Amino acid sequence: MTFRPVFIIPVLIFFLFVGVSLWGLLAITNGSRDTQSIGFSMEGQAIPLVTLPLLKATDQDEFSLTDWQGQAYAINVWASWCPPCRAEAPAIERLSESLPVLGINQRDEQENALDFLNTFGDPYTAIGVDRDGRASIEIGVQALPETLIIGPDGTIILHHRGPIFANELNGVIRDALITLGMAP
Amino acid sequence: MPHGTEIGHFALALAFGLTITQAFALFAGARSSSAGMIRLGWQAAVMTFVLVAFSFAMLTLAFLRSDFSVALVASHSHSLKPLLYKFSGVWGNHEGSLLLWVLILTFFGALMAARLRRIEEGRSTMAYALSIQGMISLAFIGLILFTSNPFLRLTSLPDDGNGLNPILQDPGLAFHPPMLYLGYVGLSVGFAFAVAALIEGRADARWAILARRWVLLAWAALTAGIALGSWWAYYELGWGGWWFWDPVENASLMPWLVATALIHSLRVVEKRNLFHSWTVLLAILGFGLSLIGTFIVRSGLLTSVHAFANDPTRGIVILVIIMIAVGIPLMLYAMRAGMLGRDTVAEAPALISRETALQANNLLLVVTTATVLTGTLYPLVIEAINGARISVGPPFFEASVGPLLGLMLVFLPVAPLLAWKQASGSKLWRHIWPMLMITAVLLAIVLMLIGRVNAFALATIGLGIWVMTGVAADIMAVMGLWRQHPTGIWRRLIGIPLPRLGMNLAHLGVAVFTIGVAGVSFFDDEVIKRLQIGDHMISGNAQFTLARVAPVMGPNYTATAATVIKTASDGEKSEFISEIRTFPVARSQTTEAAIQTGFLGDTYLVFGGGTADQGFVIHIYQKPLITWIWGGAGLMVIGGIMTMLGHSARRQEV
Repeated sequence: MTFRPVFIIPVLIFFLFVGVSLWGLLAITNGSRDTQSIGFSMEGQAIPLVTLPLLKATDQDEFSLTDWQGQAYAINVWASWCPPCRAEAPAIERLSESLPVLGINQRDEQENALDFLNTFGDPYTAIGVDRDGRASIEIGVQALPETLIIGPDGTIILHHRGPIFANELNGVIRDALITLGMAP
Repeated sequence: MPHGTEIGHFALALAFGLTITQAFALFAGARSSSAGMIRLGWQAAVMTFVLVAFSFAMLTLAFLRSDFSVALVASHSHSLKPLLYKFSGVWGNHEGSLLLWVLILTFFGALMAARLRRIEEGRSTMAYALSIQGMISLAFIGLILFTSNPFLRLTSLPDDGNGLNPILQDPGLAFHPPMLYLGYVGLSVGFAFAVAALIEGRADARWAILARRWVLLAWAALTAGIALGSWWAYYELGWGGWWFWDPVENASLMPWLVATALIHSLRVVEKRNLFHSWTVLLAILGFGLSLIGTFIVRSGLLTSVHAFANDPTRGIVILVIIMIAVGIPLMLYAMRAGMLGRDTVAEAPALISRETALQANNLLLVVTTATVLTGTLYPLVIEAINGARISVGPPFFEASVGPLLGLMLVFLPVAPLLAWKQASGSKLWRHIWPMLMITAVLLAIVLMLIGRVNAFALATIGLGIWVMTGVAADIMAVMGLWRQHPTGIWRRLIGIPLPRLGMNLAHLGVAVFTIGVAGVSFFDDEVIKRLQIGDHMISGNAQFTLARVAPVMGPNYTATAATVIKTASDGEKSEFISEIRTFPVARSQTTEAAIQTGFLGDTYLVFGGGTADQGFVIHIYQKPLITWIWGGAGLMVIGGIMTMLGHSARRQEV
């Protein structure tokens, strides 16, 4: 009873682990893998012109990015269930002083979304409702909150993932506004 | 000492050479039973520890004196930093923490050497084990010297240092890594014994007795280390979570689960001379998973919130060490595991016996480990196959690990009540039915008190109570209260063997922990409001009034503090102060939550910033029974240490 095939299983599983890890590390080394940031960016490409229903009734009947062609604007994707969205609310308010901010309210309940606006303020020029998250996927959003800055020709100037605070306002956002010739 | 850093560096290089002596002298000594070689080996092990300790002291001195000519000090310390954090800054970075790792490793080596010096029986096993320890030290000291040297100087002197990441400037985090390493590295002793068993082709009761106390010590330290990390995350990160299923956390949970299984299976080897090959495998995996944990934290292999160092080159070096350190023992295992129990002619245990119960415990723990490992590495495997980026989050782990641990808790209180070899079903039933009755009655009382019914919550609390009744039943059984008239209770209570008492204390810890998890997971509550000064909000039957928001100056930060007055339903007032701290040197911000801790739960208040015009954001969580989680872990630690001490004391009498 000195040798039984079952005793080989641990070493096989172990070398499977080593193989996968080695692949993972080599892929980081040659630059095809990045574990420090996630996802891709559509910066430099044209924003897909999505159309959505409106969160609040206004004189317009729908939220359409087509209406904004020809001028610079920002898109902020948020939800009432997203804690960092609450945290970035003051910064979005500041951003709305520089250019119009369109909100996309993702996978949310209308009542909660309206409560959120009452509590944290409503800096948005218009808010589209993306109930199933499809429009967000189309414009390349992965996790809330994310903010995009769009040039007058419809090009995505900046796609920022994560909340916006003073650092971002004075950094990447300011740079994007300078690109647009709109820096304060 | 102006050249302390260089002398420390030199001491480490000397230690590197000595570990070679330790590894080879002991191996040769154990093989040829040469007393002289064994003596040379253990002396080298002690000397290695002394040199590494000296080298660590020199690095610490450089941090305490803020010697910014040392590159590591310049990039991780600052002259304005409080003393405790200058100290913990030593291991708050990759290079220094590896040195701490090696310090603990060689410390265990020295302890083993002290034992080897006096031991008569099992001397060759011990010598082989210490030789394996030497090889591990050799690999890790080499890793430090050649890829992660903490003693390098800067050619140009900076005015001041970069500071320690402010989120790490916390007493909880000052002690979390040393404890965790004590656990991780402590498992190397069990591992070394397992490899020694494979070399000798024998894992018997004597072997199990030699190894078990080390595993108990490592297990207790690992438990404490994980609990400290969880506690730190809870009060420092500012959103009240205590476990996030992050890859790095999973990396510490896996060795813990395997070590837990190992403690129990070593007991079976010791008492019944069964489970040899299984136990040896667990001992290899326990330390193997610690190494893999270290590897995941430091290589940047997986996307994790614990961004320690993203250095794939260093990662590959560690992977090569793991390949040798774990791969060779596992190959040895594949060839020789079958002969480990060759001296024993133990008959197979009956279906109802403690062996079977412990086997169930072992299988469940290992399946849980495999589940956690699968969930942690799944994104990597999928990415390797088709390049897709996915993440596996808490829902997977909660749905898969929860039921497995739940099932374990069903069996946990029964196992100690069973006899070895063959237990009597009717005797067992005599214990079980009062336990079931008490559990049912207590659960009914809980149900009446809280009035809300969630089947999972109820089941979790029920399991906690069930385990507690088992602890009570076992203590009563050991004291003989079921058979005799209860006289001389105290004398008999004191008479309970220390290991038995320790086991029950640890099991009680598991019960307390379980009830804590139930409280936090199913009965928590969260409100968030924007308040003007003087406004109030309601949370957990109390009223919270925002009293003031004012700036504060700290030693190396500036802060905005919000003071909130809580008025409880009985009118009693208390004050909460939560701060947003800005660290100018490190250019980052942290949130200091205000936490009111109570036996039945915490009130956790976070200031979320704001302005006088728009109001200030106040976030209040109710965290019922959360302290039970750490209380439970604390009981497990004390129980583990008691068992270890009792174990050692008993050994010395024999």
